[in-house]
Amino acid sequence: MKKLLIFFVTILFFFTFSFAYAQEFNFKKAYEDYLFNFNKYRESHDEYVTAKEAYLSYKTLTSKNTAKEKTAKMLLNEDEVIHTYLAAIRLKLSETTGISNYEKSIIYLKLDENIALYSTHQNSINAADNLEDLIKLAQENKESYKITETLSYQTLGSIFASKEINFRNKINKQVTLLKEKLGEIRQKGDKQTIKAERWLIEAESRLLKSQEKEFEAQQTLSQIKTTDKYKNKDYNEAQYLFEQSHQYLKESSNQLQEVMREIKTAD
Amino acid sequence: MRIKISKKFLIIFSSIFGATLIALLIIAILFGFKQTKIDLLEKNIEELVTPTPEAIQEISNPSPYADDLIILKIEKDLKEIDKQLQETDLKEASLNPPLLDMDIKFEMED
Repeated sequence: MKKLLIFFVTILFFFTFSFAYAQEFNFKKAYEDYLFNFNKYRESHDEYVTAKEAYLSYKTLTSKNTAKEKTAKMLLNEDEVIHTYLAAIRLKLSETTGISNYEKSIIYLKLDENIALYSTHQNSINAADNLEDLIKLAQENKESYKITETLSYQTLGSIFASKEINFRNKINKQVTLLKEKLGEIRQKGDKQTIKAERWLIEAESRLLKSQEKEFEAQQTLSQIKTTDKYKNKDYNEAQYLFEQSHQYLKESSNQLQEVMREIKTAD
Repeated sequence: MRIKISKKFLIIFSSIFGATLIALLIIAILFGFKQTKIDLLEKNIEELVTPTPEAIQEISNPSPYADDLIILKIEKDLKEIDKQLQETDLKEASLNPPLLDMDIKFEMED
């Protein structure tokens, strides 16, 4: 009988493990988690605003206690939003190819440190005795969030850069194959290759320009300081440079298609 | 130390777990089949509704390399890269850091 019991428990453990494994935590799930927490934050923020107005109007002990309770709830949710947001972009980065593992691990380290900061902050909120302590903790959070914003923009920059690197690698591979083929055709001498080679040079030049724009974008992002008031301005500028880089890649791809047309058409 | 387990308890325990496992298996089989059917249906609909139009490049005077296998493979790969380039969203505004109220003050606003 005991053996039967062990058998059932083992089977149940296996099933539980299988179900848990099936629900793998990926970027999509992390992003949903972030959105869910953001909604919770918005609701608690509305409650905080109402409680704050009531306290400022009546100045009673009850209204102060309610304000303390609602502020704490809102601050806890705020930390959770940041925490889940950072977790989501961390997973987005992990699912992105094109960036080296070394570079990824440096960003992971920074993100993890930042996530830990908010967990500690949540503990402090739970331990706060009064409204004044909570206001101080909120001020601390304001400073921490400046670091988070900078880190987030730089992480997003790495994600965009890796997309571009990936595309450039793919196009470069085709350039190499076409060079080999054109060399073969030139040796056989049964077709002119001058025009195709010119298109190929153009395509390579666009690839180089794309790389330059991507570097510029990365540089713009690395110059963002935590003390900058308008970090999104630099981020938008970097995004514009990434778009230019992407445009060059599209042009390069078009020129390679011209190479193809040249090779396939008789002299 | 030996723990005594009564026979009655074991029978009840085994029956409950047996029933739970059977129920789980039935659910897994039913939902598994259902999902596959939906997936297949969606795949078929996608295939029927969204045919991908391809620009046909007519070459009136083809070279000896028009049907070269390597050239055709490069052409296919280039088309795929081009498609991905067109579809890529480099903005991803939904990933921007969240806008949060960081000014927590308890003072009368003017």
